Amino acid sequence: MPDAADIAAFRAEVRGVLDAEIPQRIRANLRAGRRPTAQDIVTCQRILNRRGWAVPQWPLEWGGTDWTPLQRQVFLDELHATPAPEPLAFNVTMVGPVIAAFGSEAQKRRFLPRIANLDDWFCQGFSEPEAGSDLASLRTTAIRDGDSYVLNGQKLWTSGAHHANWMFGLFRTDRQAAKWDGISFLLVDMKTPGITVRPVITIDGLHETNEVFFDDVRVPADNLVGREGEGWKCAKFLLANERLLNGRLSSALHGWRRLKDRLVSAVGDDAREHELARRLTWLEVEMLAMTMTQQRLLEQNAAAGSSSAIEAMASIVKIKGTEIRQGLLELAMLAAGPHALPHQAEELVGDGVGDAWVADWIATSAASHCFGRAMSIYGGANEVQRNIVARRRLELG
Amino acid sequence: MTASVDLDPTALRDAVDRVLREHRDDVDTTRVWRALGEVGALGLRVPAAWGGLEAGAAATAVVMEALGATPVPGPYVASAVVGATLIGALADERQAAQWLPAMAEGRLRVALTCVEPMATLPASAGVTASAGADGSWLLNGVASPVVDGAAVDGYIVVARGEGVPVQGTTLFLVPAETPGLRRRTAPTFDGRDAARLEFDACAVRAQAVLGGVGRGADPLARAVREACVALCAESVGAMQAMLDLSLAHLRSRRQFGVALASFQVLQHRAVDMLIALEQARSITRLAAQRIDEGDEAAAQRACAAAKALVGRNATFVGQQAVQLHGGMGMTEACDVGRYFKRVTANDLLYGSADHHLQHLAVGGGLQPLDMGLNT
Repeated sequence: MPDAADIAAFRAEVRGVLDAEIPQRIRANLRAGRRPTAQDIVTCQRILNRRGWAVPQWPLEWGGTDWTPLQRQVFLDELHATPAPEPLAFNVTMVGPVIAAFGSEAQKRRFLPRIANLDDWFCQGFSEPEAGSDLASLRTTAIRDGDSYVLNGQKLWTSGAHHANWMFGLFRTDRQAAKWDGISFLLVDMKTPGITVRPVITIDGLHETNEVFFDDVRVPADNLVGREGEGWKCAKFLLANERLLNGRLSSALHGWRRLKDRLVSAVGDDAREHELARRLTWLEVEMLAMTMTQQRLLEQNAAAGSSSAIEAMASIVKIKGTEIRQGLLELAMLAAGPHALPHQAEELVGDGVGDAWVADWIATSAASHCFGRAMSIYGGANEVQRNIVARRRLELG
Repeated sequence: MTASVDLDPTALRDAVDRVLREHRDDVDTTRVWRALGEVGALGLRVPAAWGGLEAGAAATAVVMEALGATPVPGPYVASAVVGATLIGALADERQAAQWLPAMAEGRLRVALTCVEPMATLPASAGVTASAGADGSWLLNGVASPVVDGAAVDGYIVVARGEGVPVQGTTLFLVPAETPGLRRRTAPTFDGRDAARLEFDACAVRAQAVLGGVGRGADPLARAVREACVALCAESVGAMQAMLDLSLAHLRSRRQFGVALASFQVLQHRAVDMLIALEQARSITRLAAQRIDEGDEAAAQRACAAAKALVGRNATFVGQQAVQLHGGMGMTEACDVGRYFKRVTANDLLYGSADHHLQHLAVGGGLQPLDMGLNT
C-alpha cells in the first residue's frame, strides 16, 4: 500500500499530465454538461494511452497497470475533475477484458493494442427488437459456412455504431441447442458488405444509438472469441463489468460537486432552506453510503471469488448507482426551473445580471435528464438486476 | 480515543452472542448483565486504566450490530456506550474509581437524561442547576423520558445553569437514590424501559459535577454522536435479522399452491430490503470511522447522515418485514415485530431521519471531502 506522500505525488503527476495535455475546448464542453464528440474521445484516449493509462484495469502484459485500488480511484478522480472523457467503455471495459480472458493469442495480439489506442472503435451488438431484458432469446444467426459465419438479423440500441469500425456481438450459432448454449461471441468488421446502420434518435433529441441490420454478412471464423456456443459465458463476464461501470459514482460525484455550487446560483441565498437542498442532501447521504457499499462488496467478492457472488454484487451496484445518478440529473433540471425548457438555452440568454449562469449548464440539463432515464434500462433493466440478486444472493425463486 | 491494540471486536461480538444465547430464557436480567460484564462487553468504552477495553466507535458498532440481532436486556447504549464514554472522558479520579470499574463489571448502570438531538437541546433540557449552600448545587425540574433509565443506579443529568455563577450546560453524575430525586418508570413499546425524573430542590455536592461547570455542551455533543452511531449499528443488526426472517418465511410459506418466494413482486421487495440494509451498514461504518478519526465537524456530518439514512432504511425494512409476514407479522409471537419496534424506536431517539436530513441540508449538506474528493 503506497503511503499518503506517494499518493499525493501520484495525484500530482496525473493532474500535471491532464492539465497540460487535455485540450481546454474539450474540458469546457464537458463542464457544460455536453457529451464529448467522437473525435474528443479518440484524442483523449490516445493522450492517456501514450502514458500507459488508457487501460489500467487490464492485465499487465497487455498494457494494464499495477495500480492499487486507491491509485485507480485517484486517477479517475483527477480524470473527472479535469474533466476529460473516460476511455471508451465499449473498448476498455467491455470487449478488451473479454478478449484478454477468452480470446486466442492471435486475437489478443491483433486487437488489444488497437483497442487500447482506439485505433479500432467497438460497438456492442447485444440487444435485438425481441431480445431486451430476455437477452438470451436473441435471434440474429451466425451460421457456419466453410471458414466463415454468415450473419442474418437485426441488432438494436447499438450506441456509437455510427462511429465504430468494429462490433462485438452475440449471435445464435446453434438454433437446436438450449437457449443459452447456442450463442457465440463474434467480432464483426463494420465495413463488411451486408451491414446497414440506421440512427435511432432518443428522447434527448440526439443521435447516440442505432439499429444495425445484417444481410448475409460473412465474418471469418477466426473472429470467434472463445469456443462456439460459449458466448453466454463471455456475455455474463462482460455484463458484470458493464454493470459495475454503470453504477460507478466517480463521474457523478464531480457532477454533484458542480451541481451544489450551481444550486446556490440558481435558487439564491436561501438555497439551503429550499426543498431542493433537502432532496439533494438525501442523494448525498445515499452517495456517501454507496461509496462504502461498493468498497465493501468488492472486498467481499475478492474474498469469495464465486462468479454468482460477483454477478449479484454488480447488480446491486448497478441498481443503486443508477438510481442515484438519475436523481442527480433530475435535480439539476429542477434547479434550472423553466430555464431548462428551451432546447438551445444559449439563444435566450441576454447580457443582464444573472444571465451568465444560464448559458453554461442549463441548456443541457433537460436533455441530460431525459437521456439519463436510460441508465436504469441499459446494461440489463434494473428489474432484471433485481431478479439476479434475488436468485444469486438471496436464493429466492 | 483509539481502540486498544488487543481488542478484537469480532471476538467480542461472538462472546456477546454466546452470552445472549446461553441466557436467552433467563428472566433474571441482572445475571445476564453480569455475564456480559465478565466477557468484557460492558467495559468496551471504559478506559483501560479502569479495567475496560477502551474501544473506539468502530469496534462498538461491530458489537452493537450483534446486539441488534439478539437484543440485550438492559441499558446497553445508555450505560455501556454513552455513560461509559462520558464518564471515561470527564470524570475526576474519585468519580472514575467509584463508577467505571463497577460499570465494566456489570455492578452499576447509568443513563443520560437526554435523548434529544443536539439542535433542540436547550429547550428540552428541563433540569436547571442553581448554586446552593457550601458550594453544593440544587437541581430542579423534570427529565422525561429518560430511556433505559428505569432501573439504573445513577444518572448523568443534563442541566442548564440558572443565574450565577455559570450559564450553559453542566453535567452532573447523580446516584439514583439522592434525596429530592423522584423516579417514576414505565416500559417502552420496544422492550426497553423509561423513567420520569423529578428533581425537587435536589441537593448535590460540588463533586457531582462531571467535567466542569458550564462545560457540558461539547462532551454531550460527542456523546450524542456516539449514541447515534451505536443506535444505527443496533438497527443494522435488527434489519439483517428481519431480512433473514422474511427470506425464511418467503421460502417456507405456501399460498396458491406455490412458495411465496416464487412471486417476483416479493423477490424484488426483498432485494430492495437487502440494498437498504447494505447502504445502512455502509454509512454506519463510515460514521464510526469518522468519530474515531477525530475531526469533529466531519464526524457530525457523517453521524447525521447515518442517522438519516439508517432511520429511513430501517423503517422501510421493518415495515416491509411485517408486511411480508402477513397476519403472523402482527402477532407478539412473531420475532419480526420485536425488531420492527426496536428500529422504529431508534429512529425516535437523538433525532429522527427527517430531523437530521433537514439539519444537514441547512448546514450545507455533505462536503466534497466527505466523499473522498480532493479539494
